[in-house]
Amino acid sequence: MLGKLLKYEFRATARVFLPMYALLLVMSFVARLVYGAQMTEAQGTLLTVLTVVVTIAVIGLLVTVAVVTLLLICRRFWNNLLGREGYLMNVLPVSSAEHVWAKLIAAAVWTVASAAFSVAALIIMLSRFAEVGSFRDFWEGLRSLREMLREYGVAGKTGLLLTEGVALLLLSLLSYVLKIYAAMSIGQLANKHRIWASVGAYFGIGIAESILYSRYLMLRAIHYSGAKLGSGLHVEITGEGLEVFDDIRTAIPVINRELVWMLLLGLIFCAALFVVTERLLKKRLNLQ
Amino acid sequence: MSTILECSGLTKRYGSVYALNGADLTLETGRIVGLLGPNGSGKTTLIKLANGLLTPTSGTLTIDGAAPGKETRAKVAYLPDADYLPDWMTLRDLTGMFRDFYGDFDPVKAREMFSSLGLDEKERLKALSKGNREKTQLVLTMSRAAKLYLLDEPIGGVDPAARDYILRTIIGNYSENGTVLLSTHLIADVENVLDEVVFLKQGQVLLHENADALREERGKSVDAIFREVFAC
Repeated sequence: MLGKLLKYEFRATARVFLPMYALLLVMSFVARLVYGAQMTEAQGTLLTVLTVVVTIAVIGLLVTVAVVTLLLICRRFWNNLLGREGYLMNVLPVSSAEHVWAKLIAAAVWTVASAAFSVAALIIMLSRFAEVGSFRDFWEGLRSLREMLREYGVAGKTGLLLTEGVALLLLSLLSYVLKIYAAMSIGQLANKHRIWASVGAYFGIGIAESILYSRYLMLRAIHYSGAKLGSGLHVEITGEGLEVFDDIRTAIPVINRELVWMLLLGLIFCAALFVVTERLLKKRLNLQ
Repeated sequence: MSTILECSGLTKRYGSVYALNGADLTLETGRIVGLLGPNGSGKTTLIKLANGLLTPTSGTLTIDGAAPGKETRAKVAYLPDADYLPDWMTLRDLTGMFRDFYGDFDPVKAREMFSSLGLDEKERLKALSKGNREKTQLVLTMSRAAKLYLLDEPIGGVDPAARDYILRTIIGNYSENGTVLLSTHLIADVENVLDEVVFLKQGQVLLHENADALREERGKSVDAIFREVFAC
């Protein structure tokens, strides 16, 4: 049933996102053409005006993509599950968990897609200014960075750290969406002012989250303070904050361990938000 | 005959207002039951509770022995008293969606009903009039072979000619061992199709009787009895 839910979720959202992405790409191509003309042709007032207009248009579209993505994540959950369309969705023979998964997966995919299309639009538009060979320089830079890492003897670990970093990024995306869902599920419990109740719940969750993370970081800092780690890494709490003295070889396992703990903590936080949302939809639904 | 819907002491409170206040009701299979009562008597609340769209303040409600949930939803066909379908979808999209999710949905039956009601399947919902949207919702609901149909004001917004068609549809389409619970103010229109009537008053079941027996006993139509009981 999750597959079917996803099919309808993507159908309902694609009709907004795809035309928007298409428009963004078209406008960035137009901008590229205009910039090209400005670089090669004789300068004219019309061309200058055009340059300003297309630049503003692309920037406006980039902002629109970001705003619409966030807005649609909220609206799809609110209208489709807790609003009018809830009369259709909540009587389908589907579990609450499947509903939350469908919304979460679609939200994550569209957020990544929006970011990717925004970057693509910027590259299309601005690469006109890039000098020939600058891409080659970029790859050269990457290669020399890898050389450097190999020299320090940590090249084998960079893949692992990179994977952990990406996982952490993905997890923070999921927790950002799940915080919205949990807040709305709590907000709908109110008889009146349900949107305000949701906003309040969102801030409440945010405060709880920041307390949790700051406590956690404090604990880790205390754990490392003054401790000698292997031969090279040494962390100290000074008046300025954390001071890290390290030799990159000994630092890698420590960074790795800390990233794993962060991932675990993020995973627990996401799971808690998911369970709250799912339980409330299942046991405490109150459609108006 | 077996019990399809049972509520006991069912209560739903909003702040200090009771939408339902200790309602007890048992419905058997194979009956068409009219859920009748003035505005605010708790008809819609009862139907929403049976669909799990609301959580009871106290009391219990079961469908075929189970609390409303994923399993009961496969057995219940619900027609809400609201514009609840996504309006950008065409009738064909909606037919596909119902077929995808409900194993008991018959797309052929839906297509036949759309065409006899003069509804174009290629049309988007938002292009339809209010009455035609209501007909669409009813067609989708009645094209299922459900065990329990919960119809909230199924004929409220449609013209009298369509009303007759819809009532014929309800009688003709509900499966042999299906039960229909329909709420309405338009008692005179539905009176003849009802096997049983339930009067709701201020969130409680005032009366639940066989329609014929009630008429015989009081010597009047259900409509006349309703006007008498709920006279303002």
